[in-house]
Amino acid sequence: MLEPASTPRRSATARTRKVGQGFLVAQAAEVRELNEVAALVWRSLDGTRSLRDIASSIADEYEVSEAEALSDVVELVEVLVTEGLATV
Amino acid sequence: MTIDLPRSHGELPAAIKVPEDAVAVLLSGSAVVGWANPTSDIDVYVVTRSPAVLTGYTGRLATAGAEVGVVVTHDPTGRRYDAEYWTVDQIEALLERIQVADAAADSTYAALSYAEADVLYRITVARALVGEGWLHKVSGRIQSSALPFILAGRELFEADGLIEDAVGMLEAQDTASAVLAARTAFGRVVDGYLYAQGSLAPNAKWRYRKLQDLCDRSNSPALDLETYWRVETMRELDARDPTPWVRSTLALCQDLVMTIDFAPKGN
Repeated sequence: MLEPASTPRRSATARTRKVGQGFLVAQAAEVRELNEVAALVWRSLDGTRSLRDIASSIADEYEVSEAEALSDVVELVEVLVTEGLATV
Repeated sequence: MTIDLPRSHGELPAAIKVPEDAVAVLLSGSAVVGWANPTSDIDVYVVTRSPAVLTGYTGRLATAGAEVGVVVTHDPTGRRYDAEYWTVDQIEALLERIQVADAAADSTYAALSYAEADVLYRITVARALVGEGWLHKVSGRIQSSALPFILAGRELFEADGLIEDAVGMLEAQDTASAVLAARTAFGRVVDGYLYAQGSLAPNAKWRYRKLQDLCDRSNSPALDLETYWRVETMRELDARDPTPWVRSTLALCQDLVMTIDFAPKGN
């Protein structure tokens, strides 16, 4: 499981297309659709911001608890890492 | 600089014939846009109902499924004129093909040839010597079409491949090739961004001018002119250790790509 202090970044080879508020992201043949909230997380994966920082931004933006936001952010980023879309 | 342009089709060089069934005679290119220099040529587009029969023509422009007559000539001052002869049906067929852009279907973007993209752009900035009404109608259809996103998608599709190449080249310690791949990818991403902003000139030589114009009319462009030119001119590249430059350029590509919205208009 990823640590809240970890600072993942988008894979340099991840292909991204913005469609409205969301993104289509792809690595090799895998394509994933990111909704508005997931897109915010995606944008934040720059290798400098921690998962805790990202979750804090999400909590502020969408008025959810930081714990809930952190849980969701970690879950999403773990999927992205597993699919090669992000690296830790 | 300003170039004196013909004010009627009668002032065109004699080699550029205007058939009786011409619906439009257009001037376009850098001389019309205001980007001309002392050696700039003048581009003429003659649109006819039936294929023009050219005498003394100097070439044909092969496009996807159609051929376009080309005349290259000079006026008495030595100024070069390039004239292309298109038919109304050819233009209509192009208009049909630019109605929809699908962000998830990159492979379709390659279907528009350079010559086709070029004539569509040139119509949008043209000045009519004949056929003001036709020009107004067709230009409006192009500007409200999916063309910006078709062209942007094609650039990003090419950039994706170059970025993958650059990453692989770094892993293989082929840093010189990685630099070239990253530089080319950056150019294509910038072109994609500019297309998506409605700046449709397809020739890469106008990239700086296009971004300059965009920055002049936009309060918060996703890419500022200084950053662009710093990367384009590879100002911060350390030839002894190019890897940081490649990585930062690829990151900039990704940041810029994320600003290009492929959602259909009205969403």
